Amino acid sequence: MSDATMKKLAVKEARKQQKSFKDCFKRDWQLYSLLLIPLFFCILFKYVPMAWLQIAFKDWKIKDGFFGGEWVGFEIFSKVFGHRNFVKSLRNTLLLNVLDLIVGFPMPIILALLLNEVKNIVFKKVTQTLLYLPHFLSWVIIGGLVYQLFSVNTGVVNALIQNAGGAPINFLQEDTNWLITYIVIGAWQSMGWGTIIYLASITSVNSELYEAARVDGANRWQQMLNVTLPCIRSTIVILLIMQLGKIMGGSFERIMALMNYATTEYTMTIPVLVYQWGIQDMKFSQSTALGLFQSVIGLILVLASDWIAKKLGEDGLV
Amino acid sequence: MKKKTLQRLAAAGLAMAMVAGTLTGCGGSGSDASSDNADQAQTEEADTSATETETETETEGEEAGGETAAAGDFTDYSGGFPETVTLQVPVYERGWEGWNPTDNYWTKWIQENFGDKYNVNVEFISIGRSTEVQDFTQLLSAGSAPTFVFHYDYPNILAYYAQGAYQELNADEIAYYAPSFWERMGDIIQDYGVIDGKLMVAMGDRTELVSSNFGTLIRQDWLDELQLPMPTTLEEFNDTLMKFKDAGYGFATVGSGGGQLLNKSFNFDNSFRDLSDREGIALNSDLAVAAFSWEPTKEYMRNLNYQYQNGLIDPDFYLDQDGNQAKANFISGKAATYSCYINAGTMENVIQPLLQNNPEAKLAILDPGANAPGGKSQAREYWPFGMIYGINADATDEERIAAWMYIEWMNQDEVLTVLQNGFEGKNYELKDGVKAPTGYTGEEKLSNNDNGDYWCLVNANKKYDSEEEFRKAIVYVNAPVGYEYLIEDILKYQEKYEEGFDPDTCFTVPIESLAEYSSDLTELWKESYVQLVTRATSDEEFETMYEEMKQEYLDAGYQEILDEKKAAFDAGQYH
Repeated sequence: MSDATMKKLAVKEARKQQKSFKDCFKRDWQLYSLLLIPLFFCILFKYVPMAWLQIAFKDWKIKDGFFGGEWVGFEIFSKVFGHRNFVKSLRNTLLLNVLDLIVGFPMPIILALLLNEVKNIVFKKVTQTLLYLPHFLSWVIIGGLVYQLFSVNTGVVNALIQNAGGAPINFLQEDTNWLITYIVIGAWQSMGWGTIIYLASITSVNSELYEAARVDGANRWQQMLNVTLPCIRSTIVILLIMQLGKIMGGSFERIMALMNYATTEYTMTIPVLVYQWGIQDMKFSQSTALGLFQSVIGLILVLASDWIAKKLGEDGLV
Repeated sequence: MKKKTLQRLAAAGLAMAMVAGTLTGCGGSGSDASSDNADQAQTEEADTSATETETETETEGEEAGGETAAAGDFTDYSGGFPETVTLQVPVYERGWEGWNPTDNYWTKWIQENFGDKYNVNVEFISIGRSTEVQDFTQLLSAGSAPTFVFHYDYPNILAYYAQGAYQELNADEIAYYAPSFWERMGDIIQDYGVIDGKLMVAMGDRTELVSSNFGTLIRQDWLDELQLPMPTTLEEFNDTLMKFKDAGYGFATVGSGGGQLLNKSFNFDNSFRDLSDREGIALNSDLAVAAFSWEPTKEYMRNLNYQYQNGLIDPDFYLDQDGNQAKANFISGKAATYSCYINAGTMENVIQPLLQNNPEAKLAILDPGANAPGGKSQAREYWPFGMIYGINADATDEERIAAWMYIEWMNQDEVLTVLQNGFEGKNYELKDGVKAPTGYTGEEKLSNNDNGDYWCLVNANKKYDSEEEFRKAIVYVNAPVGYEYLIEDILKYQEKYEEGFDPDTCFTVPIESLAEYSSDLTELWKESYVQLVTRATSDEEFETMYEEMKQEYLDAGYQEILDEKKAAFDAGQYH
C-alpha cells in the first residue's frame, strides 16, 4: 500500500471515532474562538467588498451610494478592453510575473535546502535573520534605497564603478536593465521570507529516511536531492499553485516604487492601471471591472493548476 | 499534574487575551459607530426642526399676505441655532512639523468666537494638500465629506460637480446670511459660480493676481566670478548655463531648466505662448492637462531637450517627483538655480544650509525673462477669486446656513485681521504702520502660511489697506532677514513683465472629457516628454519622435478634450 492510501485510511478511521460537533466544540472552544479572529478579518476585508463588484456593471458616480447608478451591462468592460493601455498592461503583467516565478520561485527552495545543510547554529540563525529582513522593508523604502544605490548619475554603485575605471551601468533608466533590476530586487526581497515554509516542511522529514540513505552510501548532496526534495514536493506544489494564481496580479507598490518615467515599457501593469483609474482618476467602475477581470483569470489559473497537480498525483489545494 | 494544569491555564489565559483584544478592537469601532449614529441623529433632529421652522415661517408669510420679501423667507439665527449644528470645514494638511491643522490654538479660537456664539460645533477635517482630490473623493464616496468641498482650480470643481458632490445654492440665502461677504463677492460669485445655468459654487476673494513671493534663486557669486551679467532672455540663460558648466560649477534645476518631473499644474509653457491666439490658449491652457500637441509646449520641450543634451540641467531631473532633489542639488552647490516661494522659512530651509556648504554663496532673483525666448516673460494670472467651494450635497439646510454664517463671521475685518496676523505684541509689532511679524513661536503662533488655510474661504491672500502697505508688508512678512531685496526684486520684475500676465480661460460648463482623460493623459505626458527630452539626440529625431508621440497623445483622449473645449468656446460658454 502506498503512503497516500495509508494516510487516507487512517483519516477515515479517525473520522469514525469522531464525536459530534457539539462535543468537539466543548472540548476545543479555545481553538474555535481563536479561529474567529481570522474568520472575522476574512469576512470583513475579503467578502464584504465583493458586494461592490456590482459597480463594474454600472455607470456609477461617487455620490450614488451602494444601490445607485444605472445598469449598463458589459459596456464598462468593452471600454476597459478597448483602452490603449489594456493590452500593454496585460502583456507586462504576465511578463513580469512569469519572470518573477521563474527567478523568484526556486530561490527560497534552494536557499532552504542550503540553510538546512548549515550545521553551525549561530551562523544559521544570523543568516536567516539577515535574509528575512528585506521582507519587512516597505517597497517605498526599498525604492528609495535602490535609486540611491543604482541610479546612473548619482548612484553609489555607479560612482564606485566609475572610480574603478569602468563605464557607468544604467541599472534603472533603460528598459531591459530596468526589467532585470526589478526581477533581481524582487527575488532578493522575498527569498528569505519564502524559506520559512520550506524549512518547516524540511524539519518534518522523517530522519529515518536520511539514516537509510546514509546506510545506502548517499552523500550529503545525494541526500538532499533524493530525500529532502521529494519529501517537500507537496509543499512546493501547493506554493506553486498559489503562486500561479498571482500571475495576473502582482505587487503594485513594487512597480510604483521602482519605476521612473524614462523607462515605461514594462511598468504599465494591471494593478498599476487599477490604481491609476480607481484612486487617481475616480473611475471606479472601470477600475472595478479591470480588477474583476484580473481576479477571474487568477481564479481560473489556480483551479487549472490545481486540477493538473491532482492529475499528476499531488495533493492539490481544493 | 500541577504543571499540566498550569500550562492549560496559561493557554486559556492567552486565548482569552487574544479574543479580548479583538473584542476591544471591535468595541472601539463600535463606539465610533455609535457616536456617528449620535451625530446623525443630531443632524436628523436638526433637520426636522429646520422643516418645522420653515413651515412656521411659511405660515407666517402667508398670514402677512403672502409677501415674498427675501428676508421673510429665512429664519434669523443671529441669536444662535436652537440645536447644535455641526459644521465640518476642510483644512489642508501640508505636513508642517509641529502643526496640527485640525486642533490648535486657532481652531479653538474659531470655536470660541464663532461656534460658541451661534451654537455651532466647528469641526476641522484634514485634507492632504497633495492628495486633496483623492481625499475628497474618498470622503464623498463614504458619505462623510465635510460641509464645504473645495479646490483652488476650477476644472476640479467641475469634476466634483459632475460627480454630484454639490447642492444648488440660493443667492438670496447667501445674501441674507452673509451680507458683507455677498457685497464683496456677490457679483463674482453670480458670474463664475454658475455651472450649467445653476448657481453651484461660491468663492473667496483674491486681490493679488500673481504670486508676490515666488521666484527663482540664482547663484550671483557664480555670475560675478565669471563676470557675467544677469541673463534676461532664454538664449542668454542657456549661454550662461553653458559657461557655468564649462567652469565646472553646476546646472540649472528649475524654471525653463526643468528641475523636476512636470506632473501637475501644466502652465510651464506660458512664456512660449502667443498671447493673441485666444482660441489656442482657451483650448490648451489648462492646469489639469498638458498640451502636448500644442506648439508652445513643443517649443518648451525643444528647449528642455537642448538643455538636457548639453548637460545644462540635472541629468536625473525626472526622478525628482516632488522637488526635493532640486532643492538638495541647490543646497549642496551642484545647481545654479532653484525656484520656490520665498518666505520666512526659506532662511532655515534653503539659505542657511546653502551657506553652510558654500559660505561664499550669494543669491539673486533670476530675471524671469531668462525663461522666455526673446526675454518676453509671461505668466499665468489668477482668476479674480481664490478658493472655490460648494456645499456638500448631503449637508442639511442648517449646516448650509451655518456655513454662510461662518463665512460672514470670518469676513469681518476684526476677525480677519486677527486670524491673518495674530495679536499685536505677540505675533507682530507695528513698524511704520505695517504689521511686521516677530517670529513668535508661543501658543498663539500662526501656521506657516499665516493661517491661510483657515481664512482661504474668504480671501486668498492677506488684506491690506493700500498698495504701499501691501508692498512693505509683503517684504516684512516674507523676506528672510537680510534678504529683503529678494522680495523687492520679485516685485520689481513683476512690474517689468506686467503685460505678460494672462489668466486661463474659465469654462462655465464641465468639460467631461477632461475628467475622463486628464489623469490618463498626465501619465502619458510624463513618459512621453521625459523620453522625448532624454532620448532625442538630434533635431530630426526630435521631430519624428514628437510627431509620433503627439498622435498617440491626441488619440489617447486629448483630441476629444480639444473638441469639447472648442464646442464650448464657440458657444461662448466661458469667461
